[in-house]
Amino acid sequence: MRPRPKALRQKRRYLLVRVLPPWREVGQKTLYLAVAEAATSLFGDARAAEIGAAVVFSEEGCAIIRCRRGCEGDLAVACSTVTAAGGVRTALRTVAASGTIAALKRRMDGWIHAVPPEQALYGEKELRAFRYGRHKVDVLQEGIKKQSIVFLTDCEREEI
Amino acid sequence: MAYADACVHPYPAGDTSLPRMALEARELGFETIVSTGGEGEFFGVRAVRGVVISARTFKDAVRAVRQAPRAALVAVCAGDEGFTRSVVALGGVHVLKGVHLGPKNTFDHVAARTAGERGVAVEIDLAPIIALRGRDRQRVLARYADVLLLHRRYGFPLCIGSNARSVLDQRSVREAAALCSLFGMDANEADAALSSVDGLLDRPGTVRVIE
Repeated sequence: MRPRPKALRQKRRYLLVRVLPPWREVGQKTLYLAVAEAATSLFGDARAAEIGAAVVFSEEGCAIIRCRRGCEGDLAVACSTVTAAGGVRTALRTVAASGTIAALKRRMDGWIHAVPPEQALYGEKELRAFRYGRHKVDVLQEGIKKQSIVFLTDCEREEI
Repeated sequence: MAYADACVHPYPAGDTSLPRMALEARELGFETIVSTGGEGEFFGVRAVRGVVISARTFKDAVRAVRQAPRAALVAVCAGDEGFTRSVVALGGVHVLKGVHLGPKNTFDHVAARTAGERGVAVEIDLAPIIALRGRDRQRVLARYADVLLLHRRYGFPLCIGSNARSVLDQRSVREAAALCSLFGMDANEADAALSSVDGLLDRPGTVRVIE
């Protein structure tokens, strides 16, 4: 298919968002569905169609979301109302907006991503923990029915 | 300008420890958080003790306000019309909480005028805007728009709280302002609301009855 001439193309903007918790893998489609649901429920079908949100990149706790130029503010608000993706608790934090994907990827270069899980001793219990950033530790608690996360810092070592 | 999150609920009420919430708040642009579980300074963020009073009768509310620690930010949950009017006139109350939860006339023009005279702030809770969907969220946004109308008329302070029980519920200063724009709050009003907590804590002292 022949691409449209540049003058006829829609102008786009791209949002760089952090996906929390960063160690949990969220698929691109799952993320898109969560953002689309949030935008539709907040602004209605007509405005959501105008925004035209699409997830163009999703990897290692960050994602790039595309929208129409002029709608990036509304998309950022919609992203802040995302509470779950694919039934799993998730939060999206908008970091930057840009006219090109390349600029946002350059910005991502210095980011510290989550490391593989490690075993950590909390009180007498040995639990799986994820360390990231400088001080952040997310500890997984395995219950009988479900798994829960406790968000701590590296200076807390007492019993949870 | 020192921005403050007017209410967070750390562990054990939530799943995040207070230092972690403070660390996250620093990254999100806050310098102060009001915490219902503990106080202190963590990673350069001041955590102020907050007391949330949810009383059935005015008498219970008076008793709970008297028992609150002196340095704490005291927030009382709104009830029906009469209860709310009495609570905003009560010395020692800093914040009126949960105006979106009560009946339609929970916070009316009389309560608004009293709040303006006594410097009692009304809390804008971001949690229902984030978590609710459909009619429930529409009702909350309409209630906040009404509070904003009264704020512009009577000049009582507003404060914005995430009421986060997890780091996943915390929102940045910019996101909080953007969420408040959904019910018509402009950038200057959002700035003032986000930085009102220090003013509430430094309010001229109220008369305390010592028995």
